[in-house]
Amino acid sequence: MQNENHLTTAFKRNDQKVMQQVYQNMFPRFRNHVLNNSGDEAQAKDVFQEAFIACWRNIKEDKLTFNSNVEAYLFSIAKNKWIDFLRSSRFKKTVNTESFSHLSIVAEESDKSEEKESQLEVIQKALNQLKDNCRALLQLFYFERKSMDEISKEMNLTPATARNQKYRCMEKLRALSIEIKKNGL
Amino acid sequence: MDYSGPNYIAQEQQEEFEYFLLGHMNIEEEISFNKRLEKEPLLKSQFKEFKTLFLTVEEQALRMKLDEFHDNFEKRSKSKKSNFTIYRIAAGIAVLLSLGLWFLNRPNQNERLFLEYFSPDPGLPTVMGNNDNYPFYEAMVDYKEGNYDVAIKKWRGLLVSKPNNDTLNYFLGVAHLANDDSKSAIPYLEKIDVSESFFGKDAKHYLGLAHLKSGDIEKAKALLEKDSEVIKSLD
Repeated sequence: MQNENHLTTAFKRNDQKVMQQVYQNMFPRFRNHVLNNSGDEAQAKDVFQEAFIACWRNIKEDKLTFNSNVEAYLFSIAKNKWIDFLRSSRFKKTVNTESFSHLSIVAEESDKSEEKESQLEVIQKALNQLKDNCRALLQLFYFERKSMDEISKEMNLTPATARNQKYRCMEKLRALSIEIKKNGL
Repeated sequence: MDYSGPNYIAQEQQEEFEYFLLGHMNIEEEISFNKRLEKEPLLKSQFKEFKTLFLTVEEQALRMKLDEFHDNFEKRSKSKKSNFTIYRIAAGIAVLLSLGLWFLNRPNQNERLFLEYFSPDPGLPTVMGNNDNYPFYEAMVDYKEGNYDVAIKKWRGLLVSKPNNDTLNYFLGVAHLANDDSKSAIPYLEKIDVSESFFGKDAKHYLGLAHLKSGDIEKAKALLEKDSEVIKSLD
């Protein structure tokens, strides 16, 4: 896509250098925002990272218009997440553990997003249950996006073996996810 | 491995899904692939499932990376902070030093007295056309214009062949004093014979002031006129 800006393209490719730069540019600003708005450093980190992932996913799903400023977009997602957090029962619990009356006022999350969330959680569990080298191999292919040659060298495999192992690891992941979903592990 | 049922995806099929998701397909390939998805519901559901797995693998890897980014960020800001601290300390030292220097350099009482009572010798009348002493009077013009460095340089050149010339020694002394250099003035002025020289009395006076500026009060008192205002201020 010729009109995409540099940051969008970099995010789609999981360019770590670019993403690291964006992280280092934007986190201090967001941290200050949180500290000035009833939060602490740890909360700033958590919310920022969730926002980063959301921003990254939206970019991959082409939800960002090609002219948009990725950093500004990230910041606005993060601010909204902070507002959500402040309104959440989790935050209110930490503020006032004695009175429970205001817990009922909190808006319920939509069913659809809950469903999506749980599907994600299932696969995350499955990923954690995979053998380390399986998980590493998949991440090298799908996140780091290294070449077959690079991956073979790194994992000490022949390219053909790496290719076959990738297939088997993905199948294993899928099978585990189905099992976890069925059995609620 | 379950080879039956809708859950099974062949390796080639999986690799085609990967190819698409990794953005390796060109436009035609993408269009063709999307068309097939629309036509084949089973393929579409398999792709949807694979895509979710694929994205989750990516996302988990990103989560780990974000922690790495954060650690790198903290390392960088710590070193920036310590650099900043070093700069702040250096700045602090610089401020202290300049305060100290200012304190040391601020005019002390003697210097203030000197400034109050010193006025440069007006110099000799410069008469144009006097060929014998033209270089001397040329320097005198520089002296009267306040270009003491230039005058000094020129007169020193003349002093080489006339080392005991009173006029040269006197004006060199006075020029140095006017140039805020009492230390250099003193040797020239000391060469003047107070009783014999035309410049004797004035040389003594300026020598006294030169010693005052240099902080040598006793010498200054000995040279300056007993009932002059300067002496009164010193006592």
